[in-house]
Amino acid sequence: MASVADQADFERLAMEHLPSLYSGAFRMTHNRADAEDLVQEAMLKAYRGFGNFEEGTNIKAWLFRILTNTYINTYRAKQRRPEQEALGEGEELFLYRKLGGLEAAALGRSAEDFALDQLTDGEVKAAVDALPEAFRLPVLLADVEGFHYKEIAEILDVPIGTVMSRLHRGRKALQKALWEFGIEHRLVPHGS
Amino acid sequence: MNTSSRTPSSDPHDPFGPIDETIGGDCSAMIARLDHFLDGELTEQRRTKIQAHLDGCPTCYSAFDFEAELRIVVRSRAYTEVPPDLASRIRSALGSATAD
Repeated sequence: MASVADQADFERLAMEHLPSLYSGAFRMTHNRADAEDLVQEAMLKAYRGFGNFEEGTNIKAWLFRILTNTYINTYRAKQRRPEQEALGEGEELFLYRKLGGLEAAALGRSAEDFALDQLTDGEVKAAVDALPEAFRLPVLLADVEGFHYKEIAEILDVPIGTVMSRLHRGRKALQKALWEFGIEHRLVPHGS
Repeated sequence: MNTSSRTPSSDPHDPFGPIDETIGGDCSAMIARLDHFLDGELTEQRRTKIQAHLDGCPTCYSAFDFEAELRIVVRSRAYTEVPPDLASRIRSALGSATAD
């Protein structure tokens, strides 16, 4: 049975990751109420299973694994959103090419950096949220949370090769979404 | 930039696949390893080879630099702030679980 001492230990190790867990939960559920409930449920599960956690190993990865499992087992079923899991093969360096980077590099310009600076929080979030879930979770875990491939494989319980291929395709799709949601309308005048 | 040559690896995105023979001024082989380079998922030896190419190739350097900048933008702007009262709500829930 969990004791007050366990609670102090758990809080000492786990609570500092609350901001990351909440942000991750929000990218999974797309709304505040579900994200809060999901994080609370995951934290309670983690607390009850705290005896299984080996101190000294990566607690953030362990917490994200519990968060992801809780999301998949509870919230995704609740949302009943048909998930489109297919993603076409995107182009390498899609955004960079769109912004003329390959030509600009030869001329020593960096218009593409300026375009990135103009992307708003809302546009980046919308682009991430638009990714099909199988691709959104690896992108979120790698590019927002900074996990390594091996950790992502353990969190999502998929082979490391699957992580790499989903991450690669997910990032290409993300670039396309960033272009469509955030950059194209600024660069291309309406009606042209 | 040499975009016509192909890497001999069966999966160009496999960071553990053959690479040494593909490195040597081949820009498309660099682009194929861009993700793993920026993710810090390459061995030191492979990382050094790619770094040496980037140091001498402004075209690849510019593309890598853009991708690195894009990751910083995504990381900082895809973040949603945690509501200020969630920590106390969770501490209270943990307290109730302890008392069970």
